[in-house]
Amino acid sequence: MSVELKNITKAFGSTEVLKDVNIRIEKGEFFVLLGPSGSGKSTLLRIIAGLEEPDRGEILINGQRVNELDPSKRNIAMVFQNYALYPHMNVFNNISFPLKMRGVKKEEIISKVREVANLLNITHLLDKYPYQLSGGEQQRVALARALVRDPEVFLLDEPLSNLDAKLRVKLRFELRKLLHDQLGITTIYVTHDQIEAMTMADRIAVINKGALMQIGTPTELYEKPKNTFIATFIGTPSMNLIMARVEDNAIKVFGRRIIVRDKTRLPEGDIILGIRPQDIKVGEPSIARLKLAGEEKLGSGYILHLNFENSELLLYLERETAAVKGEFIPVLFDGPLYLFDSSTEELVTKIDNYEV
Amino acid sequence: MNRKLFNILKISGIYLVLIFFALVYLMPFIRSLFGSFMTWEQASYFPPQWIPNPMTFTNYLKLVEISLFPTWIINTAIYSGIIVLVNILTASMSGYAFASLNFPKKDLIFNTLLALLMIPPFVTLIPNFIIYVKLGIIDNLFGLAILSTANISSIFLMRQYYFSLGKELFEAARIDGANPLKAFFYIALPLGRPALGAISIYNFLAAWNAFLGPLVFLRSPENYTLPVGLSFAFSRSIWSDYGPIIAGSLIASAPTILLFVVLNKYLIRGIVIRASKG
Amino acid sequence: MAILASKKNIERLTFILLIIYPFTLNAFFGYFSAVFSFWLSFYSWDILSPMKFVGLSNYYALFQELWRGLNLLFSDPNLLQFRAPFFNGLKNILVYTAIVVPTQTFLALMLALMGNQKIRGSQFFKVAYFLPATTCSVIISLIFMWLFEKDGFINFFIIPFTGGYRINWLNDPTYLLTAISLVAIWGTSGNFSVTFLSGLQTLPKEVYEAAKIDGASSLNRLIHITIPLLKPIIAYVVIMGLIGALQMFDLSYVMAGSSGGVGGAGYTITLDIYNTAFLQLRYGYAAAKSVILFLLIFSLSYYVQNKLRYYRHE
Repeated sequence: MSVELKNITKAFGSTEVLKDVNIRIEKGEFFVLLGPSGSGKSTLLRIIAGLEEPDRGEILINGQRVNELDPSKRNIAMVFQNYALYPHMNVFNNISFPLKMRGVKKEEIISKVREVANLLNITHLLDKYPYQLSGGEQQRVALARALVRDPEVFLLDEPLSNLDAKLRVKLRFELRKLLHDQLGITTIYVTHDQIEAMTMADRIAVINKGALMQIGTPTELYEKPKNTFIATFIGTPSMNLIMARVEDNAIKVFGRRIIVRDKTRLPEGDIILGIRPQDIKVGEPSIARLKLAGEEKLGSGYILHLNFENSELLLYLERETAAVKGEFIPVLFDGPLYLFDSSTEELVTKIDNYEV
Repeated sequence: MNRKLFNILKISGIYLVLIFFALVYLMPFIRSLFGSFMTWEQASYFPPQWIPNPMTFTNYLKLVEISLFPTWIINTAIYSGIIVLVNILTASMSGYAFASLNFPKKDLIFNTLLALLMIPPFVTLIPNFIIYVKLGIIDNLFGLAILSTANISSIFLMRQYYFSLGKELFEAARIDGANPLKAFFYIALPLGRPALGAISIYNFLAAWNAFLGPLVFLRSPENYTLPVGLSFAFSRSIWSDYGPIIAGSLIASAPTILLFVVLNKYLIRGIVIRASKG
Repeated sequence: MAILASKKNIERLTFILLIIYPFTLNAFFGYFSAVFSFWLSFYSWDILSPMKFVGLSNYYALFQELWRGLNLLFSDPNLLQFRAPFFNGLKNILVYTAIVVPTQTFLALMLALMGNQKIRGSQFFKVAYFLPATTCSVIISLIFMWLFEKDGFINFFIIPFTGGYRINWLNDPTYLLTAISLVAIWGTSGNFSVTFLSGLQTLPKEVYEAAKIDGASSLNRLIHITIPLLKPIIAYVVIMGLIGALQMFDLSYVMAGSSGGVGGAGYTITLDIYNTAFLQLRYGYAAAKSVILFLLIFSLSYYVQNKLRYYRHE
């Protein structure tokens, strides 16, 4: 089922948490709401669920306005960050609760619970109580409770954030496989973790300070970030932003001129130049020689911290350099450049073809 | 060595004082227990005697034979029973409503109720008595019980308890298809059991021991509760001597003493909640 | 059904359904009655005949009584109960409060501090101290009246200190109020000591460990750490004690009788309100007295609360 949000606005007291948000989520899509904490993404999810009411705007599920519907009537399922398992019920009763509330017959409840318990590999837990389960098991029970009644829309609020790192990576993959590939349910997934978003989503909506910044596939967000917020929020390490100037259709940076080969005309004046750490290389012909301030070992690669003027440039390498701290090393740009407007911080253009 | 000696002295001193006060607090009960089996001559003998001689049950028999004492026990049980049962319902229902349902100005409504705790019972006693006279439900045990069936402290306690559980559980229930009322019966009520246990004990103690209300609102001796009945029996010298009063007092306080000795952990935990709110 | 389908309305209707009984009951027998009481204090009424508006004359009579009482206190105190019972009740309850509240607070704190040491059997002491608080005040009074008899149990322990003289606790105006106060202290101090004890157990251990390392003696830790940290609970205990003491009724009613015992020595404000309303049937006048009682309780506890808060910030 599709979910459509039109002009959603919400304030708590005098603080606006959502400003005129418009999103359309297609049937069967795995859709991620991504944003830092306090961005309003959870509030948006709770508005879809019916746990909060928007001050203005409409929520349409499958083209039907549901603003006035009680959460119990919206045919949505939700997994909470802390799972919200009913502590006084065993796992079987937890999972069967949504069916019981809908007056489903007893035999059908039993077969449905068995089915979903099989699917999630928790058949052996059915007699246990939530406090007897590990975090991962609780998570699966919460999923089972949400899945058992074939919801039209599936909502997940940071469902992995209470698990340890190893389990998180494993479940990330399994969740998408189950919800998207196997069951094909429309899923809306809230997270603050951009890696989670990038690996799981069909499309991502990035939200910051209550405003929708950009909607797109993970690749679109990575390759065409609409503004500096998204450019730095998505991708690790963050994209480098350097103050620069455009003169005579050339970018002046580090005292050098970058000549654009594309036909586009660049706006003259101050700009912000963005380049990903992965797109900077060590070697000649260098654009600048910068002082090495330090090195971080990631295991899979290395991040070099380089100083220039008063700020820092990050550089991602797959192999360790021989350079030592304090040494000046030559760097060259080998990848797309992003130009952002210096006042609005919106993307002006992306340059693939250039010459130093 | 010196330090060790000092510590031993200090601990013994503390024990001495604690045991002395334990005796002070327990002695009236112990003394009554022995005294209730004595003849009045022996019970009022100076210096006090301890071993009942002759051992007599007359004091207890007199309670049953010459008075409405058994009726008063039944009345008190009915009165306390009603108050405990209805308060379990009112406290859990409105505690849940105030904690997790949306309603315009609900905190204002709640604080308005809470402010009533500042009004002394003597201020509302007279108007309530007049209202009861006009309604014709004076001297009626059930009518009197109604006044205590929506205890505000209990509502406050349940509200705090439901807050402490977090709102996700109730939200999950709503999403799982339970309307607000079903969410109450399936989630809030069963989860409220520990707090409702404490509330039951408090309301039971308050109802069982209540004096002012029953004294003012009950008129005929066959409707009395134990405290009013015993005070009435004493002031009218129904039993001619004091022995049955002691025996009756012991019987009347037995349920509260037993309840407290068995469930003291519940009660003492409840005080922590109350103290930390004040 | 359309109303029921809307999310907002389902919640609101359920809310109303769940609170309607407690709300109505408390609004009626709490707020309405409180206002009614205030309104009644401007009338003269015995329920049977029609109500008569008398303006401020109930309050005027009340202040006359207080003034008369104040004069009698210095000229002829024996007439107090007869000519100015409300003043007598006020005087007694203030004396009673001044005895009971500090004593029970101090005793409760002392017992809690000792019970908080690492000792065996602390649960036994808790139960023993708390037991009087769970017992009905009427029953306590009845038992103590027997113990307080001239040839009674308590005098047996007292005579070594009085040189063999047996105090006639309940029939001597000098001792009646003291006897009632002792029963009250016995009945409530254990309760408050458990309150203190639970407060003591929530105090942060790190502070004590830090103080020990800093070399503070146990007496210094008590004065400079425990007592200041307990201030909010001390305030709670004092105010609760104050509110309870000013409204004391049960003990006096049983131990002294509704007329206050010999010479009215055990008379209280609440007994006076009870008598004015339910024996003399002067409901308007009784309502005026209850308004004064409310103001007394409210202003005293407000004053104490502010004073204790002031200390806390010092």
